[in-house]
Amino acid sequence: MLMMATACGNTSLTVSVVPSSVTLAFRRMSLVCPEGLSSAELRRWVLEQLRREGEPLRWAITSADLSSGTCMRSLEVEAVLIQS
Amino acid sequence: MTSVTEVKPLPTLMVVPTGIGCEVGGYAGDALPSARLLAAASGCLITHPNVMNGAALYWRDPRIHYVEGYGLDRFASGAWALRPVRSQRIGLLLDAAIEPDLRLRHLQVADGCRATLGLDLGPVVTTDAPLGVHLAQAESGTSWGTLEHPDALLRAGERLKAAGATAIAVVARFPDDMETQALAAYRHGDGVDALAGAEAVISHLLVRHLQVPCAHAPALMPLPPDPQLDPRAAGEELGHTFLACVLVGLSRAPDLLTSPSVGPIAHGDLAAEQLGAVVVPEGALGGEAVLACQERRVPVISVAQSSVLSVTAEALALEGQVLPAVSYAEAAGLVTALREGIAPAALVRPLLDLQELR
Repeated sequence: MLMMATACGNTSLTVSVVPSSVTLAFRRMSLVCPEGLSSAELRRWVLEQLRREGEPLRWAITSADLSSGTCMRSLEVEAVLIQS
Repeated sequence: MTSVTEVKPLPTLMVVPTGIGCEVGGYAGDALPSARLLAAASGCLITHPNVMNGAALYWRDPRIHYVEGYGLDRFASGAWALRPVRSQRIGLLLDAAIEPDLRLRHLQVADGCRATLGLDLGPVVTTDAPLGVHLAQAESGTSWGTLEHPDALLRAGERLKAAGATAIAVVARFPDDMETQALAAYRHGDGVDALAGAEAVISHLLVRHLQVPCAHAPALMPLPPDPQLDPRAAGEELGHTFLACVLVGLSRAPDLLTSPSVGPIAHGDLAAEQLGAVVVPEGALGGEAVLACQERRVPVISVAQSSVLSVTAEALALEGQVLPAVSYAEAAGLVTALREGIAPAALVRPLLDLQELR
């Protein structure tokens, strides 16, 4: 059988850097891209918006549309954020 | 020694996002044949556990690099690099919520992989609190999930790393009472993998915190046999656990170099600058790895197939910047063309007129 690490094993000297309270939160955000935002700037811009609510762990644009009558792109972004 | 006629590999990223119901890759490692084809075409494929994990089924190919999704995103964005290794020492992280019999099944899979496959495993750590996995479905139809005690997961991961594990296989107890209709649809090949989103959250958390290769297998009670089972979901019904594929995948997963800009990249390391193509389902162009590749002008090959997402080249105003393929077989042809230095535009008719700048 595989060895089990125990509190009296060599792991007892580990100094944990885990924050005492790590919380995961799911967010769905509706975003409108600023005019002139290029596709090469899109990822960084979405990350900036997400970081206002927490540290993005996993995210994706789940819907994208060009608003009718303008060149404004609207996005739906779903994300799991870390809030510690 | 490389023959003068041998064409250099074209490092290629293959992304099949987890939990979005992809027709190919949305089930039990059923994108694996496509991954093998792309590996043959490119000579070097970087992909993630969702593509490679078929529960009791797996395939090892030295041209395929198994990188968990969080690390894959960091790699594609240029923040991290990859260093292929001969083997990893895999620590096993078990959720305290796993019942004794189910736990024993997982330990026996680990023992089997040591004895039969020669993998380097150990030690085993059990979390100091049940992880408390909850499953959910987002408005878009994708699956996701969360943990009541993510801190317990990270503490257990720290103990494994401190004890010498260079990669971590994590097994969390997942709810058995998944909605019956959704489960039946998935088993019949018509639905989203309800577990996948939560699995990704667990492995992303560990990789972000520890910067070592990680992958997840859910612990579940076996289901009664279903005569209508879709072949794509069959890999998950062959054994008592989903762990074997994870252990095999991690056993040669590349190390994650988290500060590639600090030191020189060694011969054989993989960095985002070397990427020659990314292959992705056509409705899933809004993920971080693909957007990062698009930023770097890495050719994006989008493969037609259904999923719950429709974030296409047209929706992102990327027409003309994405190479469409009707199947992974065509995508492999495009990768071969790129590897050989053949312009994909030369392969279609009519040829577009040359553009003259004025």
